[in-house]
Amino acid sequence: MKKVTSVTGAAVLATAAVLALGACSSGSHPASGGPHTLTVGVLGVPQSWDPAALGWGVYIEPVQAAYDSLIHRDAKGAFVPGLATEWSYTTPTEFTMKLRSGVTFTDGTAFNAAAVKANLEHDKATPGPYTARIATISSIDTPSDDTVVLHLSQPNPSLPLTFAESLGMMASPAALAGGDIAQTPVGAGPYTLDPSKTVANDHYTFVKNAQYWDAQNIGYDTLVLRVIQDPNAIFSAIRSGQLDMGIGSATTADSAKSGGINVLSYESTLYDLQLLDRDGKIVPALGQQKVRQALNYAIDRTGIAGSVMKGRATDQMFGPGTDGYDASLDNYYTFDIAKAKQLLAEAGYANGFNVTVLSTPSIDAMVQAVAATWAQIGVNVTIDSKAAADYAAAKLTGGDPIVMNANTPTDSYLDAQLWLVDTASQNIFKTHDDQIQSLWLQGASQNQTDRNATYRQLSQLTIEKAWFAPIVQGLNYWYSRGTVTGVEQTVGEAFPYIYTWKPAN
Amino acid sequence: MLKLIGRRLLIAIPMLLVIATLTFLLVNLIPGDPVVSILGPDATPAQYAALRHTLGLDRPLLVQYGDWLGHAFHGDLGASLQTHRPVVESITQSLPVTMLIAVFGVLASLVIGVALGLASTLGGRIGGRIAQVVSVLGVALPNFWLGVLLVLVFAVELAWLPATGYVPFVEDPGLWAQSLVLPVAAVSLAGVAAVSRQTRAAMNEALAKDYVRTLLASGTPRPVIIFKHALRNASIPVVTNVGFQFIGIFGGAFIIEQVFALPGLGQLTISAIGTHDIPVVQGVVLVTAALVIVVNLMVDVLYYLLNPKVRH
Repeated sequence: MKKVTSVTGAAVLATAAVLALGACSSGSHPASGGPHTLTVGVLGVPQSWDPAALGWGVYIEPVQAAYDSLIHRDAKGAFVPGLATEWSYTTPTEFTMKLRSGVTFTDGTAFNAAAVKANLEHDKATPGPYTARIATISSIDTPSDDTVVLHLSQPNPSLPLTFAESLGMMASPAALAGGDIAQTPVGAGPYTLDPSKTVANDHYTFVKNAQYWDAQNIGYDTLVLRVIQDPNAIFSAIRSGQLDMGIGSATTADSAKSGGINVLSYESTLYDLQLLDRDGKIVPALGQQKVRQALNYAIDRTGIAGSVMKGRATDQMFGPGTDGYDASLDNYYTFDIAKAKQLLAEAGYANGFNVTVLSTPSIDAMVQAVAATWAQIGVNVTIDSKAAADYAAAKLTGGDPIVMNANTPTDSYLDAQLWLVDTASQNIFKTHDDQIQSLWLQGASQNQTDRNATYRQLSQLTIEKAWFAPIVQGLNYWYSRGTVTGVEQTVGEAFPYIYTWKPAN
Repeated sequence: MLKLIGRRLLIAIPMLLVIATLTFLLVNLIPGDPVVSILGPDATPAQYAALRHTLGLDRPLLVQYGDWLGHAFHGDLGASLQTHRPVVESITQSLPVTMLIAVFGVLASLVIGVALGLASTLGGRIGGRIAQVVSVLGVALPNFWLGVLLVLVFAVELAWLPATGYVPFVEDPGLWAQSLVLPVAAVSLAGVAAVSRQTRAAMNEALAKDYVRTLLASGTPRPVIIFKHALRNASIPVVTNVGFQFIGIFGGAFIIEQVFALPGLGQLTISAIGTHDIPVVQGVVLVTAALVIVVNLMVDVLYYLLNPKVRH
């Protein structure tokens, strides 16, 4: 019996000790750490710090903290110097960069042309999410310490964008060769990871790199990234003062504004239906252009943008700020059920048809909204909703005639490479079109002005052929407290860049 | 007692083998491809095939199973497909956080539950009603919903406690304790309800016994009868239920970690499932199964020690 009392007594003492310890804390709960420390809530950090394997999008902040890229972007999305000070296409298949001098990595290794070559060769040889973007680099010359010349197997006009994102992040060649780069980043970026104040998958502490070439413009001595997988939890943490900023969401934006939190919202992710079975192999009706056009006419984009997914209604795959965007093509497909029915009848499908749409829970609501209006023209939708990882794999197996998709338009050459052309990984049924293929290649070797005109033609062609049914370009949200300034969108990027963040006072 | 422990450990080995096999099969039967999670959806089929080959995922399932099992017997649960870190290392880092929530959750359930149960026993009809309300709330309220509510009140509105995150003990013991209060409160409510119900029932039974009547008749003060005699006897079933409490709260902690962004086993598992990180999922299931077996064994030993009737 005494043993029961002992156990219970021990339990009481232990609980009381924890409560007392909590009450007598030396400070308040782990709130923002002072004027020179910035605490940011992020959904995750890269699982590997190897530059070849780095993601982008939600990983912009940790990646930019750990590394610096060859090229930066300003708020309008224009390319500005980073570790490279100049760059140009001397021919459509030759890209030359001049490098910044006097830069060293945090392990003391010099940043120079040899370092860039080592990084790009490593990136080409290591499988990663963006390896395809540098597949056209056939050889790399380093005529001097500050000059790198890339020889391309075919024109690739998107290298500035590629080198402004994860594949432009430069790691120390010594660290790359050492084999530990996946666990510990060694770059030349504005901050250095402090492993002693880092708990994996919880918080990552970066201290300012005094050797950074632009250190005088970096506003904080310490950057703490807290991994919080739930945007609502990030919001609570910002409200409670535990975080200075972080990713927001449409569901909490109004509460954030009324609570005095600065809300930055901007168009980013494009939600669209990929009408993949353009040759009608699975659903014969989809092989007809008039049927695909009818499906486009039967989508209430404005209604969906106002209720299901806040953003800008669109029927273009190429978004604003990209080469192929043409404002005159907006509203090409107005919401017109009568027109849709007429087109279906002309195509011989007056009674409609059945079709399956592959989707995933985060975007099911949009498919449901589309299905409701498609039902009015006799097109009956079965939604095949899969969990995220299964959905990504299912897209590639080619069994689904239509796929609900979400991605961010970046650059028309890369987007066409991803969605449109014969070899596009998202052209699952490998539908071929001479005009599309030809315009894509033509634009790749042109100067910017001519390329814009060519890719606008490509956009118009894509819309007329109705290979897709774009719906809305959704909004991304970023919250910040009034203690931080310089929080701005970078056009064409999913989340803000870190370089301009400074204390408000 | 040694026989008891020995028997249980012998049974544990085939049990773990069966669990490991079932887990391996189930995880590999789930649709999806880990290489797509690693390379993203925009890589080429050749890149996917190359990575699949590098990771050994194109080998026959039986070969993969034999390889994994062979290493598991030596304590090597493989490496994460995403981070390449040893699974044992990831679990070792994450498990203490979840264990802390579970252990303190059980302690809080015991302390508060016994106190409430006692109060409801001695409080008459009103006390009984209060106990009923607490019981219903404990069963009905999802712990993640309660967690969100606690954050809103105590972190956002009152700013008394942190909304998210975990501070290691060695970094700051005070902040460490603060970071655990709300998660522990959220996971322990169901346990409090169960323990208070159990205590009330056991106390009512104990107080109806003949020896209590004898003690009363002999003039023993009522508080002494309640706390020294009746409560001791009533606590045996409560204490021996600790094991089941622990397992239930341990499972609940997986969800709570998402609400409070705690770097425990729950976050590790959910992240691994989402990215088809098969070795991590297998490792977590195996470790959790082993933990349940150990906890059940400890409960049996505790019961053996506490209850003389079992010994004879």
